[in-house]
Amino acid sequence: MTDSRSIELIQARLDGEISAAERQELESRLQADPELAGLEQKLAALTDVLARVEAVEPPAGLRRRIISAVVPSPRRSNATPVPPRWRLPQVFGYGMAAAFGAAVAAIALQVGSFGEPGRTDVSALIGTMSSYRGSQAGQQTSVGESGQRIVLDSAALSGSIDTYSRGGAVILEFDLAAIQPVEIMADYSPSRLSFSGFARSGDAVASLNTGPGQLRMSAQKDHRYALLFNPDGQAGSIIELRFVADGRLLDKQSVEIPATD
Amino acid sequence: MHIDTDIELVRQCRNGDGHAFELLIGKYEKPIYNAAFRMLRDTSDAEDATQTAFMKAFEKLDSYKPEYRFYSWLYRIVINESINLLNGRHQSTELDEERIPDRHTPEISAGQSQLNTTMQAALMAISPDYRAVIVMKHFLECSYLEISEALDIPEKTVKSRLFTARRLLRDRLADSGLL
Repeated sequence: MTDSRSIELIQARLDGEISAAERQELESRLQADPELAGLEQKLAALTDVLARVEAVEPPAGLRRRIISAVVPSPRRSNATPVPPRWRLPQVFGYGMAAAFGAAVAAIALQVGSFGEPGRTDVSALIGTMSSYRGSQAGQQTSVGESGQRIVLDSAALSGSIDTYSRGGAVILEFDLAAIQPVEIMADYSPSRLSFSGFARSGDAVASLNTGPGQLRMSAQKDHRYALLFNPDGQAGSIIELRFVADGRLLDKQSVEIPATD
Repeated sequence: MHIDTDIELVRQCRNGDGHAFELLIGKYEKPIYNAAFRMLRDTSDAEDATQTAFMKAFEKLDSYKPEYRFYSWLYRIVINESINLLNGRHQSTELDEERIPDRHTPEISAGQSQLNTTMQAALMAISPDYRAVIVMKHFLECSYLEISEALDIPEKTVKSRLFTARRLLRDRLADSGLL
């Protein structure tokens, strides 16, 4: 009959919780008792098999469901009205928006430009967002027949990107949470889309850099802002989004802007 | 596990920073889900237990004591939640894969499939108390002390329970030809 002390020592060694003195004691016991050595081999074989069983991946979307259930956020769904934190004049006149919000936005935003000559001064396009509805009783129009919501659900970045049209403008609304600084790059054809505005929500802090057909947004944690584009002409176009952290590509998504009738 | 980081995140949560709890969810979603899955086998049940565990942790954050490891506290919640689910559904200790309808298994590689199936069946054939120590030791890689804290049992009991659990599990796996 194997004594409890021997069992304790065998398990401690298998579990990496044995001291040097205990290790010596176990070796002496093993040498004196072949049955004990046999028990250790059986337990070691079991430990080896258990170590070969791989961890399972949680189902896609589970994290988002947990976050939604545990930490409710004022994120908007397609079926709900725009929450009042988004403030946008009915007609997004950028001079007006700048006058209205630039003083506040400028504190939180760093605006720059890069690359070939293009729009170099976007400060006039920056503002806070007023309610999309304004005095209109109308509803948002989803881009495309089925509307567009991109859901990201990864360890580094999670949340949603909604795309819809309002007053002739195409709006990309970002509501993302990140565990590290993430840069989002948006590439588009400047002959088909014109960047026409950037608006932030609440006290979200972000930086924006623009170039011809490209935008770069950076934020420390949360990306809660909207990009506005004006389609030039009737042809459709695509906005390619890339999500980068520490020089690594985390994800990429495509937003299709269908042709207007 | 970065214990100091967890305590700081808990402190931020208590101060109303919801983002801090999102970070804790991101950090522990996989081990918590794995613990639940190994206790319950069913993916839907494991999802429910995982979500409930995080919800309870969020609700009880004020009762969490920093002198204990946060993940031990979290693991305790999910193990207890899993055992509650099992008790509520009166699971039989003799479970056969063919007799359980519509059980969803997680996506795993073909090479892992047989090993995973056999191991999970063996785990379900031992009682939840023994299964819990196996799950915490071998799937969550907890120390005796961490298991003791999580299950609120003395270390001596952890060790004896582990030995019994291992013998039972080994017998089951030997019957199935894996050992």
